[in-house]
Amino acid sequence: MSEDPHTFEGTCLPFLPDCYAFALSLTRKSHEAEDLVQDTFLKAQRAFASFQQGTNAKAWLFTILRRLHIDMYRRGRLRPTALPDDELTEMAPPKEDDGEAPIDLPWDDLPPGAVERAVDAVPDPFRLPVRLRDLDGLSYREIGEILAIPSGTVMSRLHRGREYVRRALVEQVEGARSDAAE
Amino acid sequence: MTRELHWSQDAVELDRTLEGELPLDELAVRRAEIAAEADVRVRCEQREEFLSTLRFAGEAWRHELPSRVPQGLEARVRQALLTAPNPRYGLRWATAAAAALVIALGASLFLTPSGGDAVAMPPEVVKAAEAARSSADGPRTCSDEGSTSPKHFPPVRDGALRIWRCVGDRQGTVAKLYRPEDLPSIGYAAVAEYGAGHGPDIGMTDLGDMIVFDVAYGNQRHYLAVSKEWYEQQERRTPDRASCTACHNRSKDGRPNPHNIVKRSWELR
Repeated sequence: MSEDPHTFEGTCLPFLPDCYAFALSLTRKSHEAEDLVQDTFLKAQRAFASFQQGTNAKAWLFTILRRLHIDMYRRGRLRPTALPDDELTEMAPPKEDDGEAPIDLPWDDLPPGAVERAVDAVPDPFRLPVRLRDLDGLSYREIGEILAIPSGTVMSRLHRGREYVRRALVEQVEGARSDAAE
Repeated sequence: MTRELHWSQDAVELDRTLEGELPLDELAVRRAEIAAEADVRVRCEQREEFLSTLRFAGEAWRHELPSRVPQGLEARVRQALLTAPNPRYGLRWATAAAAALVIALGASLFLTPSGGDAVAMPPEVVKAAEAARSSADGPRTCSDEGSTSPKHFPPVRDGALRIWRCVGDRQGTVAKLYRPEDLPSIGYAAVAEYGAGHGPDIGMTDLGDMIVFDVAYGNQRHYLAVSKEWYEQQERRTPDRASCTACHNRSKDGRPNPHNIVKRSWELR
């Protein structure tokens, strides 16, 4: 039976799988991700009066989760396997192609999970914007709020991150082609 | 000497345009350029192919998420929520409800169309109706043939329509489609059959011969037009769910309608 969409449970609990996946992408450890999800929902329940009905509950939960992750990291409860990206230095972006990169690859033929693997391999400062946009489907503004970065930074990190993803996918497709040719 | 790049040659700007992450007036200017200039259109289509690959992957990934949650986590969280002290919750909720009421009243005073102050009809409503009028097949959805992917939507598979973008959340997924010869037109939408719970408000405009629905996903509004004759047939068949069939055909028959239907009264200018 579905829950009343206006209650905390009805509004927020459907996003538990999304929160767990986001927490796992931050901590890279399932038990830490589970603790983070539980703390997120407890904090969200206390703060539910501040949630504006009709806005994106997932983005709201992610914002809470992200802040808790930073707090937990600063208090030493988490190991620094994935540093909050506001504490990371900017990394050099992948080298841009000369001119426009032709996109004539058969994107439809990518193996299942190829994009997810490519996103996971993107360096941290660029990974989260790509993940939040392309996997979680959030807007640039929501991503900026969750990561506490200006929208211009969201756009530039998203672009660089997508370039990593594109290159990884190109490698996968070309690898599959050469395997097939042998 | 450096030459200033056109926005379509700047990948950041290209993505902003294709993803609708621009003020509406700027977006309209760029869409007009896409329609008018072949090289701009080609760049957009090439990039869109990559972006739609990412979106479809995201859609599939979100669909699988529930199966990836560790067993027992939801029960653990529910138990923690039940036992957590929350003494001020009721008071906060009452305060918020009062605030929301004030905001709603304020919004209704300023935004409700009335007489000469009514809001002008968005041009997309007319475009959607025009696109649907020119469709010989009438409304069809990608769930007609058992698939939730817009890539399998018959007019897309046949090449009559192409996918502009695909957005989605747990409420379902909307693919915005376009005719190749009329790139910026927003006239068709196909909605995947999965997703339920509660949905966003759906606007409904009666143009006499056509009914145009509008719905906001992310920061974009999508329009779908169906003939009034067809809509009235659906109303006779399922009086409380006729609006659902416009997007979902009959794939959601028997389920509760999660949407609030808002009848639009635009000012005709």
